[in-house]
Amino acid sequence: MKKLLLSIMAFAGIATMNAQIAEVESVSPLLKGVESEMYHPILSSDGSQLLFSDCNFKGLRLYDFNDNVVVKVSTEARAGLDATFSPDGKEIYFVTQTLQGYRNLRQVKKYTIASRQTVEMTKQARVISAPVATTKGFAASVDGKMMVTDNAATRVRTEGTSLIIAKNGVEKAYTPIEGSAGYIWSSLSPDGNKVMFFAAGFGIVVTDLNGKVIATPGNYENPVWYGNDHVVAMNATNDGHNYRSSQIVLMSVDGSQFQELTKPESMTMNPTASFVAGKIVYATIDGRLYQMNLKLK
Amino acid sequence: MKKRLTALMIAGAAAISAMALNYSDLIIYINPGHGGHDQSNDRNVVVYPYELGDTMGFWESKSNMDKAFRMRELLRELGATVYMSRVTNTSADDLGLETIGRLANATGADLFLSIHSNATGTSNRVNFPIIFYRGYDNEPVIPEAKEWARAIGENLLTNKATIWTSTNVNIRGDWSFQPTWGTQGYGVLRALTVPGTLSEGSFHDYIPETYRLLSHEYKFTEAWNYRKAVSQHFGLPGAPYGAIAGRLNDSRFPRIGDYKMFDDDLLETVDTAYVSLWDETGTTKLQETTSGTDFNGIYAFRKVDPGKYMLKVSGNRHYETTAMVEVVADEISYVNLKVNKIRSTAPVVEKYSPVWNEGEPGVLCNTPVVFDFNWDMDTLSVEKAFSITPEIPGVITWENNNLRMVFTPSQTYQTSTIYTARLSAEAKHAGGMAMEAPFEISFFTADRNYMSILGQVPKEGEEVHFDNPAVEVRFDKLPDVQPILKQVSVVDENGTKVALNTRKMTYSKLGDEYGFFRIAFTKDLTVGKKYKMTLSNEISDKDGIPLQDSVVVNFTAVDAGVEKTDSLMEGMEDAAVYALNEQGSVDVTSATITTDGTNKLFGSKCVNVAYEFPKTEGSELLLSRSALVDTKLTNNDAVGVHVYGDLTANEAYLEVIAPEDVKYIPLGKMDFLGWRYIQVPLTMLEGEKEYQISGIKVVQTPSLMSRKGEVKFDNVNYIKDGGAGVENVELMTTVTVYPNPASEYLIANADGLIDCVELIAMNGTVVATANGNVLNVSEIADGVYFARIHVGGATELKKVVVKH
Repeated sequence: MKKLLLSIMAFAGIATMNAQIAEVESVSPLLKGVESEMYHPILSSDGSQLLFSDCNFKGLRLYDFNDNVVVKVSTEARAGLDATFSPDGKEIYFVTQTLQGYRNLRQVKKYTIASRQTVEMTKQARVISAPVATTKGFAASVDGKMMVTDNAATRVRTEGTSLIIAKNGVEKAYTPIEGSAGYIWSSLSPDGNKVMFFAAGFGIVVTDLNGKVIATPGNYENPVWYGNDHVVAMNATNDGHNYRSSQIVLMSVDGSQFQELTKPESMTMNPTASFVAGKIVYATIDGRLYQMNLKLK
Repeated sequence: MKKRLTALMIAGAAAISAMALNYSDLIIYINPGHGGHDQSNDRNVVVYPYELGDTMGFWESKSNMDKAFRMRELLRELGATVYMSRVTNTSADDLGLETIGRLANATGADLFLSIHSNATGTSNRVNFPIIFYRGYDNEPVIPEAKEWARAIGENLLTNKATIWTSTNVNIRGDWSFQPTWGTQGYGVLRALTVPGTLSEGSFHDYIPETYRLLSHEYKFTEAWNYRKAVSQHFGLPGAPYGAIAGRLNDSRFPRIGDYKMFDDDLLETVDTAYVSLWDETGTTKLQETTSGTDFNGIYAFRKVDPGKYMLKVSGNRHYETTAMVEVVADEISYVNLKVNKIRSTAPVVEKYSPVWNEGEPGVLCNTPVVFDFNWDMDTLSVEKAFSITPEIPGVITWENNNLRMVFTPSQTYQTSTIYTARLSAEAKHAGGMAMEAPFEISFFTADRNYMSILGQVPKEGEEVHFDNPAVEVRFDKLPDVQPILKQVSVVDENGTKVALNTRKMTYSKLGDEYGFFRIAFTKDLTVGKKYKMTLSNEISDKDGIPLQDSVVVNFTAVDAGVEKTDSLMEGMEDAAVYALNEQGSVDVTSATITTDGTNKLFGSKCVNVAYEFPKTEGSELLLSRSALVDTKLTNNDAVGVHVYGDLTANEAYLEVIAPEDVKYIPLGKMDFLGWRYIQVPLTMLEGEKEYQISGIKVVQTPSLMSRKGEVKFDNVNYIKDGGAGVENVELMTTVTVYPNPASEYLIANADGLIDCVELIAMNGTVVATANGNVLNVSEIADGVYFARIHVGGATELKKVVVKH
């Protein structure tokens, strides 16, 4: 019953919105009756492919919107946590994890969609940052040492309370926000001119490529770009143990405009977006995926 | 090239796994749960002296963070890398649950711990740790998380500075613990990809624990146990030093508070005591500290080299106490001490019971006399100094480490009497100092000092139908049924115990008009055998007021259902023949007449009459037959009726009529339970007239238990020309009324003293009442009435005519 209620709420979107940035054209369930336990969705930049995992980030499945086929990419632990498409959508980089002697060992792997082949890209290491896929390769920090296969690309990652921006083969670390418990969810805007990350305790921070803060749109988790001027994120509340509400929100980068895309009680979370496709995909807390088609006003 | 890279990578992995593990390899992520003194998702337990919202009081966010700091210190000291999700306590750093998990993943942590404390969310109070991991109880998402939870659970339970209400290792999968949430689980564990647990270290709504959680030293012990669980989880050596911790309680004085307490938490804590650690011989002082300031008495020495030591405790109000302690590396040695308060003043009675003031109702006649002293007392001197008048035997007992004296009378007090309990000034406390003045209290006792039996089965000399028998006793108050099974016994004539079916015991409930218990025998009785039932005088009501004396009755088992040779007049097979006669009845709330095929004696059925009256006196129930019984009766004959009594003591009658006459043949009081054969001579019938049975009547006997009942009737026999032997019938044949018809006065006469006479109309309404035996009918309308004459607790009905 609860699942049904959540589904209805997630499907229905939200009727009353406090500021109309975009028009919600449609909301529909994805892979209903085909797949179950679908969490942590990641859209390719063109919105034609979708990665998702189980509730514990274990395994990685790929859904192609065009041919409506789901392919198993990995069954390994952690594969769904830091997975990312290459900019052209032809490859997937992800990190797997094994426990040896009670210590975690991680490894970056690459899956080529056309050949369905997986190759190991790094050795097993203790600490590996989320891989950043670039036009000609990827970059990741492996036990403190950078592994970069595409030096020319501009890229961004976080490490503790450092925002690390690489331009023209040179990495620079910034700490735009002091006193945070850590930075996560970093990304480059589609036009490559802005950096966004989440500073724990402060919220979403947008900087230029020199680490200078240009906007702090709000304290919402899991932010992703929707074009260069808007952000989609998750607004969740909890009682210290359990989630009490969770919704998907849309806002302008400067935070001046804000729109609730789903209701707080819908328990929707972990959005991913493709501005090109006018599409947002998000999960519900009970493991269903929904696609929302948007049109900016 | 690719093969070579793969080979290199495999070699690298092997090298990592083969490395000797040490703390510097470990990354531990600690999440102090909650945050920000935020009432909506923090937990503020209000305990004296802190007000609601006072940030100095107990907040789970603060307590969790303090433990996390201590754990971080201990782990860093051993070389581990430790991250915390927050290091301040503001709403801003009360991070989102997904954020916390993601941060832990990003650090490359090997282990995750979310520190919390628990609350029941109910009025129940408990205290034990419970550790959660993600997944089902027997199916953790990450198996190592369950191992990690077990290590935590086992170590937390080693803490002896607290009082655990359960010492079972309690670890749970969050999906099993919260099944209605499916696989959502605890939010903070949800985003983790590393072995993680959420530890509810103890219950912060168990108030003594709330106070302990205000102690940094106590939180240190919990942190120590988390750290030790980390060491055990990775198989690493522990700390090369040990620690000493414990709780100080007063040895005698109770803790003051209207909250739940267990074990030593019932004792006052000794706060701000000076605690010092000395070498084994007690000559060199090594460390010193003070016990807590928040009603917890907790102290700790956090770092002590292994070895033997002497611990000394002293305070302004307590005598110095010493204890020896051995410290082992990587262990906390717990030393909980009970210290004696210095008795510096004369003893006084601080509280007493019963408290009675002039004009108030009397106290229960079994109320103990209780004196609460300010000091633990010298029992001998106090017992010698105690007296009570009027004198009554009793027993003195001591409670609360001799702080409380209780005198319990061995018998109940006299009713409506002033008693005075006195302590002379010779009463001394345990330190030898006497009271400065005598002390006395007086109280007035209630007007009831024993529980009364209203009715019982079996009674002395009773013949009890052998089939499906039971013991039932009815009282004026609800009995304390808990011990009754030990207070009732039945033996046969050989002294062999007869088993009662204790599982089928029924008893009165709160709100019932009278108290009772009923216990069926396990087996039927043996016809012709004699039995003895004993009710102990320890049977008491809910207030402890007992029976005055034990009750011993002898009874015999009979078969009331033996086929009789007499003629059968009415088989009582058809209840439909009987119907409530409303005109002939008085004040009847309900009457249900049914056939009963289960409890019948003869044939296939009997007639069952269930009735209810509105009050405890004054009602009559008349059931009239739709057709008269054929058999004609004269005053030379007798009838025999099989009746199933209901122990109400209400009276049953057969109604018989003759032309221009009606008579009620008394079958006696229904003060028995089960079947009985009652034979009645019909001498009360008028000569020369022939009567026929026209109905059944039940007349209420004033009593608490007479308001509701259920009687049964089976075969009614006809005994031509009398029949010898009159059983169990209380006849009131001496009652007469005259003149009949009456116009001015109706006068009743009887052998006994007539209490009152009532005149009842045929519709059941009482139209006139007279105290005594003379009723004025001068204002009564002409008609036919019944006169009800009350004589010594019994009643008799006479049909009378008023005619002016």
